[in-house]
Amino acid sequence: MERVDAYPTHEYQGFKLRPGKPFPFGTTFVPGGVNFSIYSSHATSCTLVLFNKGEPQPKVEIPFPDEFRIGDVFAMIVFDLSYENIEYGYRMEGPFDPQQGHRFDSSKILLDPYAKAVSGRDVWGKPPNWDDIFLHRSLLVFDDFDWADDRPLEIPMEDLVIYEMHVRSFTRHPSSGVKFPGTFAGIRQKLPYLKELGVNCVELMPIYEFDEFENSRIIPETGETLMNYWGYSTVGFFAPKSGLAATGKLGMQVDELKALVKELHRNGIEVFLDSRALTTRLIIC
Amino acid sequence: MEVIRSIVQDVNVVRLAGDLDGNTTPNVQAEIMLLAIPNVKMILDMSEVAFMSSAGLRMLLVMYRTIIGKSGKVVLVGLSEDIRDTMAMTGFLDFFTYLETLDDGLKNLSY
Repeated sequence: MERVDAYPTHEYQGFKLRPGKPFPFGTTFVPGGVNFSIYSSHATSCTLVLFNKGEPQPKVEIPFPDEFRIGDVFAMIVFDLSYENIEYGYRMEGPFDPQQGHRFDSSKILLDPYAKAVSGRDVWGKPPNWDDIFLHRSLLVFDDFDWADDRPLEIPMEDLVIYEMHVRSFTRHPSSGVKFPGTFAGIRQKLPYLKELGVNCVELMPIYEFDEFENSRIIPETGETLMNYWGYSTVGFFAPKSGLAATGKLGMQVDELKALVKELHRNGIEVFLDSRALTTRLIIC
Repeated sequence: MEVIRSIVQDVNVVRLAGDLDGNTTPNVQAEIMLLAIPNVKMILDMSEVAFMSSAGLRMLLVMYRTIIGKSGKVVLVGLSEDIRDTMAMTGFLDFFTYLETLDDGLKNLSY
């Protein structure tokens, strides 16, 4: 039976809309459209900003109608989006009162803190266009990975042999012999090596989207650019770093990471993620 | 995107030509699903597909699940190195039998 909520109720500049579902936060594919949901306890209004991929200016900015706000959550379904070609963010209106911890500035476009993938640093170390009005853009991602019968291995802690690794460092050097050095795919190619070592768990140092150019500087003597290599300053906690994926330039970093985890499990190797929630560049609204 | 269908021996051969992305995938999927009858044998010839996006990968897996669910068989042939790499890195290739040429595919399905 067809669902009633598969049909739009509103329209804005040719875009068909209806009130969204507050949960889950972030974006979710629903019949015919995409559900956008974002929480802010202090914002007075919110605008969804949509870009065509890579375009310097937005294709449209859609204010959330008052009736699309439920409590502190702004939720809206936008129909008929070409999901692979969309990047999005938000403008939030609210008080600017640093003494009270409020720094709302609607001239800035904000990354969705629940974004599952982020563009802007698709290839490690490739300088972005610093004049871009929106440097870290949220992407739409299908949450339909085929995990088949995969499960966490739940190896007892006392039996773990853990290899803590930095995704880029592990295979970056040509001596690793992998086809895509410094990536999730590179690790996958080194599975025989890990098994030979007797490793049954890998702990991945930060793999969440971060900005390798944060606080970057050039050494005057050599001209070399020093970057945030380790990644302990997260930009998006729910997004794998695209520059650590060989397919990041295609926006497939989520699939590449999930495929790696699935393959590690299939080979008897548990996966831990190094996560530090307090080291972030996120601005909480 | 062109979808060229033919029958060789008792095998449905579907040749795709062009880019397989979010814009072209719905039509391609609709055409292929028409062939997904019980016990179908299908070869998807990708030798003229230069680019495949995430939507294209998903279409292939939906097709695979549908055909396998109807006791059919499907083989991919003619994958470019780039597409094969992308499918391998994202785990999609694990599901498929893939061979170099159409002849290889026909031999595989004749057993």
